[in-house]
Order: sequence, then C-alpha cells, then structure tokens
Amino acid sequence: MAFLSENEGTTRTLLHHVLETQPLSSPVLSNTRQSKRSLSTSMGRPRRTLRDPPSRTLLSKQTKTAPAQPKDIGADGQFFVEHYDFLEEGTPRILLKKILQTASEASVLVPALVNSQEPEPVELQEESKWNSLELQLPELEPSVTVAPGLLVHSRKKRCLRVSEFEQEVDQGLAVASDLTGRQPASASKSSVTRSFNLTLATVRPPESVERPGLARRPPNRKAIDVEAFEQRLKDIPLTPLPDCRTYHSATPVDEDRPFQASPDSRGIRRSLAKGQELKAVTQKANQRMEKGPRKPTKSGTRSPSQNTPLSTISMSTGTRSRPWTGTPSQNSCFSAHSLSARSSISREARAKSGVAHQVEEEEERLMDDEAKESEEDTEIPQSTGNIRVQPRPGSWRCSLGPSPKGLPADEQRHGLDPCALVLPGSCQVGGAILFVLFLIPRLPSKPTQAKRAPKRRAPGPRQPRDPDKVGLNNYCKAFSFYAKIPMEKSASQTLMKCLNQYFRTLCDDLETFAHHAGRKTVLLADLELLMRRQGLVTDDISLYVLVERFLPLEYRRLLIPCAASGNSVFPAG
Amino acid sequence: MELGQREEEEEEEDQRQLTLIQNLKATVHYTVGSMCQEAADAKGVRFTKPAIAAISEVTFRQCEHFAKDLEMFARHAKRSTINMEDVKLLARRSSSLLNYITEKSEEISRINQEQKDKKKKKTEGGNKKSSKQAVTEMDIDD
Repeated sequence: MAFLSENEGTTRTLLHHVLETQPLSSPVLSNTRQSKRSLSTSMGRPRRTLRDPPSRTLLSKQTKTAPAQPKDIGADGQFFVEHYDFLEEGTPRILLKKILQTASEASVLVPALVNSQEPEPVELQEESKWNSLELQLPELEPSVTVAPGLLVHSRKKRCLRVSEFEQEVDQGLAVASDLTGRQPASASKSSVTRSFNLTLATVRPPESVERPGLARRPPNRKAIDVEAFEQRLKDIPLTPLPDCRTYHSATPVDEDRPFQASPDSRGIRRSLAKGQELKAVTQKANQRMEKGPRKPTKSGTRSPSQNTPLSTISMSTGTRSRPWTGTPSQNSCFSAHSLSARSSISREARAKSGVAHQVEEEEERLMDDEAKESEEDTEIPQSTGNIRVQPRPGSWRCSLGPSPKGLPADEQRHGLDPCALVLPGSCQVGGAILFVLFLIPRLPSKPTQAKRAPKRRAPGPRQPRDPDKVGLNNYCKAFSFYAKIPMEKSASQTLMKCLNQYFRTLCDDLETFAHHAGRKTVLLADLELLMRRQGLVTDDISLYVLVERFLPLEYRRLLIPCAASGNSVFPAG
Repeated sequence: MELGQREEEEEEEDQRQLTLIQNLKATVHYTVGSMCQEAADAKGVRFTKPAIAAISEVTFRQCEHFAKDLEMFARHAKRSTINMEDVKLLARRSSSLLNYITEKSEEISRINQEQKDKKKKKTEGGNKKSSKQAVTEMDIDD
C-alpha cells in the first residue's frame, strides 16, 4: 500500500481503480487536504482505501472538504472524490468520461513525483486485484508527470491513452493477460518519463487554468460571423442624402453642448486608431458595431427607392453603402452628432486618398467588430469581401445633411454614434464617410423605427432604445455580474446613459486631438494622448504594455489582419 | 567628495523646490481667499477657513495637471512652445470657459495686431514701450 500513496495518479487511473473496486464502496480518504504537491498522496489514498475496508465517514469528510478546496486543476484527487460519490449513480463509462473531460484541462499539474514510479511496476505485479485497467497506470502516469514544458507532448500522449482507456472500458476490462504484456512497456515508459519528473522543479498551472478567467469576462466578444454580417450589409439600401453644407459651420466643440456635438461613434474613433486597441476600445467598438447591422436593415427596408441614387455614388458593392443611407430623417442623427466631425471635415481638404484609406481601414475594423457583435443578426445580406469606398466629397455631407437640427433626442444621436461622425480627418472622403455612417446604425425616424420594431425582437428592445444602448447592455450585464448584488433596471439605464456619454466624450476627444495636431485622421498618437490624460499610460506604463496586458492574443489575432490588410475588412481568404 | 557635494546640491535644490512650491501654494491660497471673500460678500454666504484651504489645494493640484496637459498638447502638435491653441484645447470641456477664453484670445490678438499697426506707423522705439505697456495692462485686467 505504501507505493500507492506515493503513486502519482491521474483521475483516469483513479477511476480505473474505482471502477474495479466499485463494490468495495467508498475509499477511505485521509483528512489531509494537501496542496497540489501532495496530490500523489491524496490520490494514493483512494487506492489504498480500495484495498482496505472503506469507511464512509472519511469519504464523506473528503467530499465535504472537496468543495471547500479551491478547484485546482491538479487536484485530481479532488475530482476523484467528487466523482466517487456519483460512482454508483452513473455508469462507469459516464463517470470516466466526466473525469476525463475535467481532467483534460488539468495539465500536467501533478505534484512532482520523486521516485514514485519505480515501485509501481513491482507493486503492480504484486497486486492481484488490479485488473487490466489498473495495469495501465504506469502508462498513464508517465504522461501526467511530464514537465509543463512538455505539456503538449503529454497531452498528445494522454489523448492516445484516453482512447486506449476507452477501448478498455468498452471491452469491459480486457483480459489481464493483454495488459500484463504492457507492463514491461509501461515500465520502460515510466523510466523514460521518470527523467521528466525529476526535472519538475515546480509544477505550475497550465495555461488553461487562466481560461476560466477569460470565460467570466463579459460576453462582448463573439466570433465573427462574416456571412451573417455580409448578409446584413446587402440588405441595407442606399439612400441619397441631401447636401448639408450648412452644418459645416459648427465648431468642433459645440458651444452649447460640447459633448453631444460629436456623438459620433466611439467605435469609429476607436477603429480609427491604428495599431493597438485596448480591450475597452474594442468593446466599445463592438457595441457600436452592433447597432450598425441592425440599422442598415431597417433603413434598407424603409427606403428601397433611395437605393438608386446612392448606388451611383457609393461603392462598388452596394452592401456597404446601404447601411448608412437610410432615410434623411435617419441622417439627422448623423448631422447632430457629426457636427463636430463635419466641421473638422469641412475645414480640411476634400477627399484625400490617404484619408480614404485610413477610413476604409477603420471601417473595416468597424465592420469586423460589427460582425463580431451581430452574430445573431442574420438579416444582413452577404457583402463582398473587399469593399472599396470611393471618396466622394459631397456624399458624406449628404448623409449627414438631412436634418442636422431636427434631432429630437439623444437616442437618435446614439444611432449616429458609431464611428461615422468621428472620422475627423478622413471625413472628406465622402464614400468613406458613408461607409462609416452605415457602419453605425442610425436610428431611423420614429415611425420607421416602429415598423422595424417587430422585425427585430431578437436582438433586443427596439423602439424605446437606441441600438447604442442595446450594445451597452453588455456593459450593464458585466456590471451586474461583478456587482454581486442585483441591479435595478433604472440603475442599468442610468449606467448606460453614463457610458454613452462617456464614450461620446472619448471619441470627441480623439477627434479634437487629431485636429489639434493638424491632421484629419485619428492616429495612434491621438489615442495615446487620450490614454495619457486618463492616466492609463504613464511614464512607467506604455501603451504597448497595456495592449499586452489587456488585449488577449485571440482578439489581437482577429484585429491585426484587418488592420494590416489595407482595405479589406475581413481577413483574406 | 564629489558625491557628497552633489548630494548636498540636490538637497538644496529639493529644498528650494519645496520652498518654491510652498510659496506658490501660499500665493494661490491668498488669491483664493480673496476671491472667496468677494463671492461671500456678493452672495451673502460665508466661507470657512478649511473650505478655502481645500479650494486652494485643489486649485494648485489642478494647475499642475493643466501644466502637464499643456505640455502634452504642445508636444502632440509637434511644438516646443505652449500655444493659445493648447490652452483652448485644455478648456474645451467647459463650454462657458471656452467661450470666455476664445473671446479673450481674440481680444488679445486684436489688440496686439493694433499695436503692431501702430508701431509700423510710428517710430519703433517709443511705440514699442507704449504698446507693451498696453498689452501688459490688458493682460492684468483679464
């Protein structure tokens, strides 16, 4: 029995034992709740108990303490304990599969075994009770004891072993003779892997341990559903927009309402910033993007007739241009919000190709974000992969034009929020702006909204709320999650308003900074300045440090191709 | 020996810095106090001493922030001198303050322009002094 305590075992091996000795009932687990390092002992305990007459009390104690313990990945013994209770409830196969599923995440985090494997082969032979499955222990254990560096390798091994194990289970515990033949092999394997064990200085949790943290993050991120997004884009009709030169007189900072002057999409601004984007930024962008897909569809249905004028203007593919077209009333939001942006635009030169390029990149990013967010939105038609926005000096203004003044409520502004407005420098490119505008869904006029409302119940409330707020819902959910106490609806609404205002201010600042530097496009320097003012970037912490810290690799992987791909929104291929 | 001297110099500089800061804080406190006095007389409200101290402390720290922001803005615009544009950017949050500053800046620029015109018309020597005095007086009034 001594060797058992020293034996390092995986959950699988433990289950083997359990399955074998199921009639023997619960193992007697010692009281010691040890750290990961002592897993071997804890895991050895069940085996020992299998042999000894079990005592239910100890097992119950163990199970009670099991939940109290932090869920260590390496706590195979814990898994064993937890599963053991259900051992008699489910079939061994089911239990085993459960354990395997849970244990697979646990990397090789097994306490360093010291000379634990040497006695195994010897003792295994001694044990007559151990069935063929148990004999597989030495095979499995070595894989478990592989150093973390060899995690992948060990996992592969483990996969093989799992299949082998399952085969064994299917066969119903194969003949012992077959397994005995493996002993020498396993012994050799164990000897081979033993060297790995010795090198295990410290066992650190595998990367997967950190996954739970990621899983708890707000569910803002969604896989990019390119097809759905393209579908939505196609649905967006093109609508002509009257030229609204009158609005250009507005100063960048609205005298009356500085913050509302450029509601523009924060999303766009974020996307405007090249290179690194912080998580928050991407989240904002995602939220903004959400509105985009919904909006275009609305506008699309409402004003099919408007498509023709715009079609002539806008990009090669109608999909992109559609979203922003909407009805003139819709564009009121644009005007209101984008006053500041427009003013800057009007000041600057017209249609610079470089700017258009920039805008397109931003738009692409926005589109990408939208695609992420609007997974569930299947109305948007397919759009071509690369949408080129033709610079059109007049068109952008047109979209903004319809009624700069009329915007009744902030909600409409919200519709404009997304990017379109903000593109300060790039605004000149009419097509680009159009593109941006449609990226961010504009709230159609209320009657049209009412029509659209029944269409889109799934994404969220329509008429009473802006698409912006629907996007901000994710923030509210995250907020209520971390608050740990229930949140009132009014509190959520207030929170959304505050966030809305905050994001608008943020984007407004970005535009102002770009304008301050005499540029028409928001660059990374502008974003860095903004973050410096916020206190996120200091002399000690640089922007890149923050990116590394907060922008997970999987999201960078999605963003970088879009940012570096020039005009194509979606990654090539 | 050199290290010791350097340390002493650094300490002296730190002390000078501290005294400088204290002097500035005292000045700010005095100004805040006088302004609070005026407001109290105007509104018929009284200001407690801790309140005035708090206001002056906040004002001083805000000034530090302003200075850093101004420097950042100037550097962002690839300039080495803080400009009127930087100041306007700083004040963009408050619409009324922005209006005020814009008006004042326009006024100052207008006055300077007039002064320059006068200079050109008259002789340079005498006119420079008078124009400078006028500009400084305008600044004080502002």
